[in-house]
Amino acid sequence: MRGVHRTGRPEATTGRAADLALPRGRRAIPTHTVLHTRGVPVVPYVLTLLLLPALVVAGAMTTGWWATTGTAAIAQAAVGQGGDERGDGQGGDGSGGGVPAAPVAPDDVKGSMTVQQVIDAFPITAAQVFVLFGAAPDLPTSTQLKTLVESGSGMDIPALRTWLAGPTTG
Amino acid sequence: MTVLGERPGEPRATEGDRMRVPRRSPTWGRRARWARHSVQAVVLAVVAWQAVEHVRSGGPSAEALCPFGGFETAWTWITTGRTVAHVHTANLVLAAAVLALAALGRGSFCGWLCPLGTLQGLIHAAGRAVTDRIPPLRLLRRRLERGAGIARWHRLDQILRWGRWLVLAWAILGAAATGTMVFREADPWIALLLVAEFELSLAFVVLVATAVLALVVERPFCRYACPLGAAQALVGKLSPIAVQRDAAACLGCDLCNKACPVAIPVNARTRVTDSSCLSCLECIAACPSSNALTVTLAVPTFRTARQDFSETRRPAPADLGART
Repeated sequence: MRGVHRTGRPEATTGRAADLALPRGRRAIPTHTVLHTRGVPVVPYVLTLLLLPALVVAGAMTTGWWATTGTAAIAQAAVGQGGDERGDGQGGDGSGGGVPAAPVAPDDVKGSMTVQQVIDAFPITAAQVFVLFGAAPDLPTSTQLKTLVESGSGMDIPALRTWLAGPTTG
Repeated sequence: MTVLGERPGEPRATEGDRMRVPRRSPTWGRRARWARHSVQAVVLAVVAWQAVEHVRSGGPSAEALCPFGGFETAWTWITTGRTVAHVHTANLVLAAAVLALAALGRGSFCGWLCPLGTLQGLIHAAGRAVTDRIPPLRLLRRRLERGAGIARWHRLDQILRWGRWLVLAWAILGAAATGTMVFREADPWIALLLVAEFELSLAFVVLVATAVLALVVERPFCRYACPLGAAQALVGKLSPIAVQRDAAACLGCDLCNKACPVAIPVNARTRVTDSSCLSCLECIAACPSSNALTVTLAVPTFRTARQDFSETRRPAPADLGART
């Protein structure tokens, strides 16, 4: 005898008119799994998924680990907490502000840094940097290094790092 | 505690029976999709804003918001306390967040947050919208879709999916060995961020290839080349939460398969634990049956596991000849 069987879930026993019928010729296959499972409400699950990374990032910001500039992880995070420690208006901004953190090693130097940041961090003068890039010596020290690179003298940031590593580490 | 499976005393279905299953409101699916697309749009807007600010005023690059940089620099950071070029502590924090997310929600970063995945989805949707309005293209797309079911394409798809594991190994080992981000040279995300400073590079070629492929294949980079997805999959395999299918309520309509952006055959799974699962919940949103697909948490219960296992191994008479 052909009858109507309902699924084992409580909702299925309500006999709502909107029920769907399995096509004829198809059979329900009882689900077998060795796992014991509990249903998870979708909305709280999704909210948890979205909150989790936000909480990790918030925790990192609170503890000073969130820095979007610099390559020396711990050092830059500390600079980020300290803010503008040199009082030159261009101190590190570990929270990812508009100005990159000051370099603490040649490898930290980036094209977005200014000449002033570089001469503050290393025992060199602005004139040396401008000569290196073949730029006019009367340029302001607030000029970004990438601007000097684009001037087309052939000098680039990796070469500057190598040059800086000489006098500072030797 | 719920033990999924046929309950004692419950009448078994026999061939030709008419099963009735409760219908899920279509509104639920629309809301779920709307929620996901809204989150994706917000993330994309934040990243785009940071990229524009970087170009406009020299602010931090949007590269600082890429979790994969954290994976690439992990070895260098552990051994030297420093990060490789273009990577900052923000990348490490995001990598940790993605790992935590994978442990809970498998590939949910890819499905809900990744802007590159969002862009691929948009391109694919645009491709579908265009081809649906132009009859010759519509015919071509349908032929391609029909062709997608053939064994040769399926086999090629399965082989190509190994690509992301190779890319992951290359990116991690290369970064550890050289101290530089070797994957950056081929990263379509970098090419997209630097699109204003156009330069014909391998990354740009990969970006264009991804965009073109996305017109016909949904999320091609995620399927075949994304190392971040592969890294998440390693941790995601440990996740106790997954989409689970109750075959007793499944209509076999294949809508879940069609909705899956990474083409997982959901209606052939009991638990969707595939490494490529994005946890986007599109399969649930598409399912017309209320109870067929649910998100479930696997609870470790050692007391009755042996008994359940023996029961599952014993075929019930009514199960013989069941649809697979």
